[in-house]
Amino acid sequence: MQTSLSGLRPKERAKVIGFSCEKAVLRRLLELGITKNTYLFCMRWAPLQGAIEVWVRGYRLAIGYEDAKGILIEKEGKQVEKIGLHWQSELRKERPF
Amino acid sequence: MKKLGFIGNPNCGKSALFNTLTGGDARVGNWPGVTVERKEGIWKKEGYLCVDLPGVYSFSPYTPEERVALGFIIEEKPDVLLQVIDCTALERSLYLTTQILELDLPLVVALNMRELAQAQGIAIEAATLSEILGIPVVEISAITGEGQAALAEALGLALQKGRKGKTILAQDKLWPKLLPLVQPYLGKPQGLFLGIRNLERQETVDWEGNIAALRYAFSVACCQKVTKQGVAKRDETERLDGLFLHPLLGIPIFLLLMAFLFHMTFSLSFFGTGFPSPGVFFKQGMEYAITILGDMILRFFPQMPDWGKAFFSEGIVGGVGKAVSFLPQILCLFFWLTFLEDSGYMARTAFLLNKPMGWLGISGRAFLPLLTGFGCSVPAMLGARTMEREESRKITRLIIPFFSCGAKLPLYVLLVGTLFPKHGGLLFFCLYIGGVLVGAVWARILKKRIFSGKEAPFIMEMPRYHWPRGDTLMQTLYRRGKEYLIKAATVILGASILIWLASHMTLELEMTMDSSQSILSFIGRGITPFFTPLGFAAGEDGWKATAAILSGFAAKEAVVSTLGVLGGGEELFTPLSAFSFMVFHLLSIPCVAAVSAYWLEEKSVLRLLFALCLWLFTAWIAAFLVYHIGGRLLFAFSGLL
Repeated sequence: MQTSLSGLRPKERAKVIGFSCEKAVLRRLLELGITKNTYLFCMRWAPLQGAIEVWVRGYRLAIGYEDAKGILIEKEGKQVEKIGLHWQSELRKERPF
Repeated sequence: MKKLGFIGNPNCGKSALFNTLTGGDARVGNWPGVTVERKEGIWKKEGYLCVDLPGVYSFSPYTPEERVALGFIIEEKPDVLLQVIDCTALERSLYLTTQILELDLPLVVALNMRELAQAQGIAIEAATLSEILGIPVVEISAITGEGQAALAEALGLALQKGRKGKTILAQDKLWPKLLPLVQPYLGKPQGLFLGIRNLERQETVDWEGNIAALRYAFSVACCQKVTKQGVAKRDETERLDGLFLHPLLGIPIFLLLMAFLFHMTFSLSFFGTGFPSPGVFFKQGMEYAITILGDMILRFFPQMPDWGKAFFSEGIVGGVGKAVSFLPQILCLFFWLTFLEDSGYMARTAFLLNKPMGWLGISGRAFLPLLTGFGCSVPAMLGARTMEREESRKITRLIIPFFSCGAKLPLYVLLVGTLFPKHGGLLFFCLYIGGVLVGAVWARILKKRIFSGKEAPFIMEMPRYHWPRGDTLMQTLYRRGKEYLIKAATVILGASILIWLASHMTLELEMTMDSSQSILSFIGRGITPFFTPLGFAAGEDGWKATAAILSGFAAKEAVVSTLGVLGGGEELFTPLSAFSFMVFHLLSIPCVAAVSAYWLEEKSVLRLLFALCLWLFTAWIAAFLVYHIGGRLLFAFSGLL
């Protein structure tokens, strides 16, 4: 189901399928590794839903709510029960980043 | 000497390596035309002139950092480049590598943070990576200094061999379409690199997105070949973030930290002990020391006329004392600011506060400078430097004075204490919050109308936590302190002297001890009509209120003392006119020190004039509204006071 990154909940993973944002934002996303078919894993949201923190290409990235709306994704559902001690290994079992 | 450029992603430890190799002797300045810092140093052991470039994720010329890096490579023509890569973010880091590889320049890659990678179960085969990329790859540890010998060897070898640019795009099926577009650039210096850069900049989104995808495809394939992934453990940063980014505790923890910082710098009673906090302690210490010094010097000149002595001790020593007295608090503030920034915590605050700051129309990083403004505007103006975008900095500096500084407090205490026996606390609260609201409103207006009005995208890497290095911290403090003393302090001193002269000289340019004959009160009387509509400058003694406001330009504390000196104090006001007077006091032009700090930071007389007008205008309108509308309301609700 297609939706934007702003709808991704913690512990869910999604694949990037497109963008609907300004060029300036797109450039920044590209150089940080958010391209089509990239996998994003939501770690948490900031209080008041101000920004989302995702795990992408092995590192943590914070994206503001407005900018998250411009990243179109396809959800894959909840991947881990909790972000515990070995959550990265859990994720990598299915899909090495 | 061969020129060696340090390049790499932000937070990869590049600067730490730079410091380790150059021994912390770096010359720090700015790149021409931008506020991005430039660091140069000499790696004495191997004889390289090292230049530390700002952290970049790629070479698109859209941020000042990227433009600076690009400019350095094309114009200054370094002899060799060293890319520092954070092992734990290899996939992302190689994006930049594929771009650097397109340069006709010897290149060496240094893999940093191996220990952290190990903790995450990541092991990278440097030799394989080197083969794939076609350049030397060295494993180092920036902090411990491991790997220096291998690094030096690799650099020497790379320099010897020389290098021609190669692009990974050539391996793709898209290449035949791209080649004709790049062709015109080939043959010229850095032709391949510039040609592809031009391609990426084309307005059709397709090229850029496709090329980026190709680069990452290469990076992923490369990582698969050179990385062995073992069991990963949650690292310390993540564990700490469980606390600092906690959905409920995150912001309260932040507020506590800010309160602590504030307390350390401005509090008169450190943790309730009755002793002043470090910031205040050193400030008072400096003032005291300078006064003693001044007295000592005076004793050498017993024959000086009275006014001379007064000029020296009040004007000069007072001025110097004032200017220098800000230094401890500025240093205290910068110490904490730099500490929080370098440790990686500031990034968390930007994350936590993104929503609330969006409401106010300012960046989350404005929180600290603005909070500082409640103590004193001077360090707040300087502290605004830590903010990312110039535009946000400008707006922040403009609204800092609305956050009622500590020096304005004595006046509120006097007037509220005597004229508002009930509801005093409520009034205080209204004044402070009113200032914040006015600031927020202006921030929104300025953002939409005067400045671009577009929100900057909030896309930020979460850096790892680490203890800031003591030596870099001290270096920063030293630099900031020196800069303040040389620039701001001189302006503050000059202005203080002028004001002293204006309040101690008559129109005939004779010295006088009676301030009601001085130039300052003459001016005061002259402009009193300007303040009459605001309610507090009416009648025979109206000029005293005006003179008090004028003296506030020297220091906000002086408003109260001037009222005392001129006689009258709280009797000059009615509750309503006192309220409008306080509102004016709150919002109008800050003291000469803050104005100087503003000027120092903005570097433009035009912007200074704009700021002065904005502050004056705001104060006037607000006081006017308070007096007249307030008057109507009170008439209707008489008995409230």
